[in-house]
Amino acid sequence: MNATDDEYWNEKSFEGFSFEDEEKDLNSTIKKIPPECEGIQIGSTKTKLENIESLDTILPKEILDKIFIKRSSEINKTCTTQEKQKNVKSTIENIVMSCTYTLESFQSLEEKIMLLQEALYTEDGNAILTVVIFLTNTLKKSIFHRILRDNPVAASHYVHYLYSKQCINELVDTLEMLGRTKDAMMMLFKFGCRNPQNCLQRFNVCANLADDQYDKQIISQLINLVGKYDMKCTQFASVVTLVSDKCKEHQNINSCRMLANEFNLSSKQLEATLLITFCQLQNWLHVDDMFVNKNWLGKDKLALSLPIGETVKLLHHNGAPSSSLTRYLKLIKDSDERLELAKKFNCHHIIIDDFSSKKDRRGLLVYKSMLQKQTESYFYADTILKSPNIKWKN
Amino acid sequence: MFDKKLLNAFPQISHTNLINILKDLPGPKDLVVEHLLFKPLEIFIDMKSLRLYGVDKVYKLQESINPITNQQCIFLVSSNLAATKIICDLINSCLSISSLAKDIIKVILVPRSLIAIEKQFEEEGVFGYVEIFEFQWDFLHLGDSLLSLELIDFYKNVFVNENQSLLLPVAKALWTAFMVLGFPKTVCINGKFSTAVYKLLNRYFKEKGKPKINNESCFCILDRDFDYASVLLTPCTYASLLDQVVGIQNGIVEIKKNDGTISIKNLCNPDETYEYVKYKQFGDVLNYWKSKSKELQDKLEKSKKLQLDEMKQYVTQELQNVLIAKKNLTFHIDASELVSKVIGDTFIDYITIEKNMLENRNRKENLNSIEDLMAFGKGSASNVLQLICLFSLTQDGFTSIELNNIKIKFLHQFGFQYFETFHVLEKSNLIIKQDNNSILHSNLNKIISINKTKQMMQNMMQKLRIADDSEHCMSAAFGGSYVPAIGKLIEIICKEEMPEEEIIKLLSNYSFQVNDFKTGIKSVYVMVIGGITYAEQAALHFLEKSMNIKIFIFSTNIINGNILINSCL
Repeated sequence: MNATDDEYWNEKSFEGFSFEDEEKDLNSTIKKIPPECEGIQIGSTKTKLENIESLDTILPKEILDKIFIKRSSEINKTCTTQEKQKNVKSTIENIVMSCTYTLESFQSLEEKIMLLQEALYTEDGNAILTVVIFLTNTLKKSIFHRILRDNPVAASHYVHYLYSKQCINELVDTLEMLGRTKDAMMMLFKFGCRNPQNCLQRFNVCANLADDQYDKQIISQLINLVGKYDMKCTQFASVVTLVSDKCKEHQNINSCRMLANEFNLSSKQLEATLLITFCQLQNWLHVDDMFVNKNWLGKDKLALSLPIGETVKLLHHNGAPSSSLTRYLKLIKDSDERLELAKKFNCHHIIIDDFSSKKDRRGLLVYKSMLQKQTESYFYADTILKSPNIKWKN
Repeated sequence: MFDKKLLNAFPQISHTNLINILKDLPGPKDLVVEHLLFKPLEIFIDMKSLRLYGVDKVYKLQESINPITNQQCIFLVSSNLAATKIICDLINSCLSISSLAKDIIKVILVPRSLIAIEKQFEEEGVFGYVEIFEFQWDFLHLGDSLLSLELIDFYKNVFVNENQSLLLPVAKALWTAFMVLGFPKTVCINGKFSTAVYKLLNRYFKEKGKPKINNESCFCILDRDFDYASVLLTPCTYASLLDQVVGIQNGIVEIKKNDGTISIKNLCNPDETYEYVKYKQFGDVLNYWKSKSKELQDKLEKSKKLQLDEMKQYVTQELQNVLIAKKNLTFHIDASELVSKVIGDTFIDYITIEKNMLENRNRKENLNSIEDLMAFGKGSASNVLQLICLFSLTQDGFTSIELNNIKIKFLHQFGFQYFETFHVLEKSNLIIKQDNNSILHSNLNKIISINKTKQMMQNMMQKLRIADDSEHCMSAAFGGSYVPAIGKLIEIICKEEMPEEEIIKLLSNYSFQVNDFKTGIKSVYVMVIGGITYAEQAALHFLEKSMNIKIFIFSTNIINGNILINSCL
C-alpha cells in the first residue's frame, strides 16, 4: 500500500513539472526524468534564497502572522474512524427517531458507505432511502451504482422509490444496470399495459429484452393481439374474449378455430368459449355441430375435450332442450355417472333406458308412476315396458 | 390473569395522540381527510371531539374540490406519494391564482413522514408552505381478541416491494401495546421482517422505556410467509367467507343489494346474531337463519295479541331490541345471499381441488382441474391464481413445462396483463419453479435455495400434522381439511406434552429464534407481520376455548386470498 502511494505521489509531482508538454505520455515522462532532477531543481531555489535577508528581519512578527494564516484546526480536521462511526451512528439515530439531522457534512466516500451500512442495520426503510437519496445526489453514477449492486436491500428501496415517482426510464436503466434484465423487461411491460395507446413500442422493446424463448413468445402473441384490437378501450381483451366476440359476430366455428390457432389457444379453452357463447345465443344447433361427429357408421361420436358432466351442466343451466341433453348424456360411457347426471337434469329417457338395461321392470313401473301422464317420457316408458325383446328379471 | 379492560386503552391513546396534534394548532381549522382513513378514524374519534378542538368543516381529499381558504387547513392523509401529490396540486393551484397566507397548511402523515414525501414537497415547490406532522393510531380492536393496525397496503409494500419503511411504525405500535400489557418473558421470532421489527422494538425499549415483564406469557412474531396456505385456501366459517367474498374493511361490511342500495354494517358493534354465527360453518349458518327468522316472527306475532297494559311495557322495553335484532338479521341474510350468489356454484369445486392438493394427490389431475375451472369461467382471475399458488405451495412447485403451460392458458383466459403478475408471484416465492436446467448451469446457490423452499410445505405438513387432522378443533376454520400452522405452533408451545428442549429443537427447524423459553404459558400474544386471516382468527378462537388459554392476535392488517393476489398485480 505504502509503496503504491509513494509511486502515486512521485508520478503526480512529475506531472506537475512537465506541463510544457501535455501530450507526452506518462510512461515516457517517468523514464526521461531521473529522480535526482527533483533535488537539483529545489536545491537551486534554496541557493537563491540563502543570499537574501531573512524574512523576520524585514517584517515585524504581527504582520508576518497575518500573512501566514494559521490553518484552523476545524477545517480539514481528520476524524478517527471511531469518531466518524460515532457521528454516523447518531445521525442515523436521528433519522430513525424523526429528529433533525444533516447529511451534508459526510463528504468522504468512506463516511457515505458507513452511513448506508448503519441505515441498513436499523432495518428502517425510510432511513435507508434517506441515505440512498443522499448518495445519488452526491456521488457520480458509476460509484452510486456500484454501491447499489453491493447492497441489494438499498437497491430495492431505490427501485421502489423510482417506481413510486413513476420515473420509468431511470427505473428501467437502474434495473438493467443491476443485472435485473427480467425485472426491467417486466417493468416496461407493466407500464405498456397501463398505457394501451402507445404500448406497442414498449412491447417491442420488451420482446428484445426478453432472453427467455417462452417470454418472447408471450410478448409476440400480445403484440399480435393488440394489432387485432382497436385500441380505444383502456383494458386489453383476452384471447378468449376475442374468440368469443368473433363467435358472436360471425357464428362460424371454423373462423373461430382459425383465430384460436393463431394464438395456440388450447382446445379445451376454445371449446368452452364457443360452448358458453352459443349458450348465450341459445344456438343449440351449433353446439351439436361442434361436439357431435358422426362416425362412418353414422353413429354419434363425441368430439370434445371438455369434461362431459360440466358441459351438460352448463347446457342445462342455459336452458338447452331436453332432447339435446339426452343426446349428449348418451355419449357418457360410465353408466353410473350417466345415470346420476340424467337424474339431476331430469332426462327421463336415459333413466328409463337404464332400467331396461338392468332388466328392472318393477323399478321402471315405480318410476313411470312418478312421471307426468301423457308426456313423451311417459309414453316412452310404456313402450319399453311393453317391448317383447326385453327379458325382465322381475 | 389478563384484564380485558386494558384493551380499552388503545383507542384512548390513539384519540389523545390525534387531539394533541390539534391542540398544537390552535384556532379554527378545516380538516381534509383521505377517504381511506375515515373508517379507521371513526373507531377512536368522533365529530364532537374534533369540533371541541376547533375543527370547522371536514372534507374528503380529492382533486376536484379545493378546500384551501384563508383559514388554517389540516390535511390528514396516509403517507403515499399519490395522496400527497394531490395536496401539492391543490396548493399550487391556489398559488397560481393568488398568494397563500403564511402558516395555514398543515399535513398530518399517517403513520409517518417519509423522505420520499418530503422530497416531493420540495420538488413541487410547496415545502415552505406546509408544516408536517406525524400521527399513527395504535392497534384497532376488531372484536374478540383481534387487534389490527389496519395499515393500508402493508403486504404489498413490505413483502412485494420490499420497502421497509412501514416496519418502524409497527415496532412503535408494539412498543405502546407492550407498555400497556407488559412484555412476555418468552419470545419466538420467525421470518426476515419479524426479525427486523423485533430489532426496532428493542430500539424503542432502549430509547423510550421498558415495560414490566409478564412471566406466564409468550410473544410470537411471525412473517406472513410462515403459512400461506391459510390465506390461499377457501375458508369455511361465516366471518371468514364474508371477508373473502364481500370484504370486511376496518370491521365494516358494505353490501350492494339487488335494488342498487348499499347497506353498511359495523361488525364491531354489539350484535347478538353475529356473535352467534361468526365462527359457525357457513352451511350451518344458512339453516340458522330459518329458525332465527321464525323466532323473531313469533315475537312480533305475539306482540299483536298483547293486552293494552302489556303493550306499553312491550313497546318501551322489548320492541326496540326486537327491531334491532330484525334489522341485524336482515343484513346478515342479505350478506349470506350475496356470498352464496358469488361462490355457490363453485364452492364445492374449489373445496374439492384444494383438499386434493393438500393431500398431495395426483398433480396432473390437479392441474387438469384448475384448467377446467378456468375454461368454464368458474371463478375470477384472483380465485384461479390462488389455486395456482396453492398448487405450487403444496405440491413442491411447478416444473418449467407445467408452469409455462398453465401460465399461457391463464393469460389467454384472463388477459396478457397478468404476465407481469406471474413474475411478481415467482419473485415472492408464491409460485416456485423447480428449475431442471439449473443443474446444468451449475448454479449451486440457486439449487440449494430452491430445494429449501421446495418440500418446505409438505415437510411442515407432516411434522406439524396440519393437513390430515379433521378431528382437530382448529380445522373447522377450513371445513376439516387444514389446521392453520400458527395455531398449531401456539398449541405446541402451550401444551406441555413435549419437553422444553424438543420444542426448541422443533422450532429451530422452522428457523425460529426462541428467547427464554418457559413452560406454563397461559397467554400468548401473536403478531403476524403481513396480515392475519379471519379463518386463522376463528381457528385461534377454537384453540383458546379448547385449551383454556388466552390468545391475543395482533396484526399489521387483515389479509385474505384476494388481497394477497391483488397485492401482486
